[in-house]
Amino acid sequence: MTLTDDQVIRYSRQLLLPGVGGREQGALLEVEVSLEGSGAALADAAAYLVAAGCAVRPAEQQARAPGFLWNPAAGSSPDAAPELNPDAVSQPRTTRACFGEGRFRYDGIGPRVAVGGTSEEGIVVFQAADGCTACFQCSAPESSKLAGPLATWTGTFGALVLLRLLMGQETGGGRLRVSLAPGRREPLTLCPRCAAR
Amino acid sequence: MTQALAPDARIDITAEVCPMTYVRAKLRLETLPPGGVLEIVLQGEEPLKNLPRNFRAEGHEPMPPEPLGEGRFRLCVRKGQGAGQ
Repeated sequence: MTLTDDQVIRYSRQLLLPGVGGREQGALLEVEVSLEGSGAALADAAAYLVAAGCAVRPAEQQARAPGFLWNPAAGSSPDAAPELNPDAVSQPRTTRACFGEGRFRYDGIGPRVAVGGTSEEGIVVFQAADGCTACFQCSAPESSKLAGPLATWTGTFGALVLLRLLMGQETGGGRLRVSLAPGRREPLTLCPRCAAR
Repeated sequence: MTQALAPDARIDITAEVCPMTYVRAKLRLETLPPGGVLEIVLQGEEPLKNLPRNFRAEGHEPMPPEPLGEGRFRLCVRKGQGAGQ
């Protein structure tokens, strides 16, 4: 898709980044991200995804009309106006992705990121669209007790990982541990179910 | 050396300011095939310094800029063979 002049200006800061061009930005504008689970990191992740051009939709709002957007910047009300980024509601979406916190049920469509953790350490698990859904489900954090700055950091980090997946800059899967120290990436190991095959 | 280059496309960014100077040129270069040459007309020290550095960092080949007078320069960039953008 060709970016409009307004969009070139709106996304100019990320278009500056290596590996991000009109093609990648156009891909982000085709994405609708389903938010799953609940927790403090979701709002921060949603804000970054919306600002990047993705539409964001909480799971309980899936049945609503296309173009509906939950605007985290305006609070938790799902009926809040989409003020953060007008692009997030201005067009139909062709690509699906998933971002979840804590325990949630994943439908297996599109690239996905799950976050969770304790009050001391956040976890980000991610997998590309063609990865094993079972491995992702088994590796996703069991619960989330994220709060405060660590929730913000983990949600933001998770959102950036999902954006990289959507732009084709990240493949396969992985797990990141997030603390006040820089994140450390570990390979996503096979879950017991897949390893037994 | 750059006089011998026949550009495949041209963009004038003399009316732009940072960061749009690089963004406009980057998006225009993206439309060319690998090996294609973009001729950029720019003005001022900031894009003269930043554009060659940024293009080089993304795997493209900027040529030495040529002064055009009145603070304007002609910069040719060959799109990298393996560059995604």
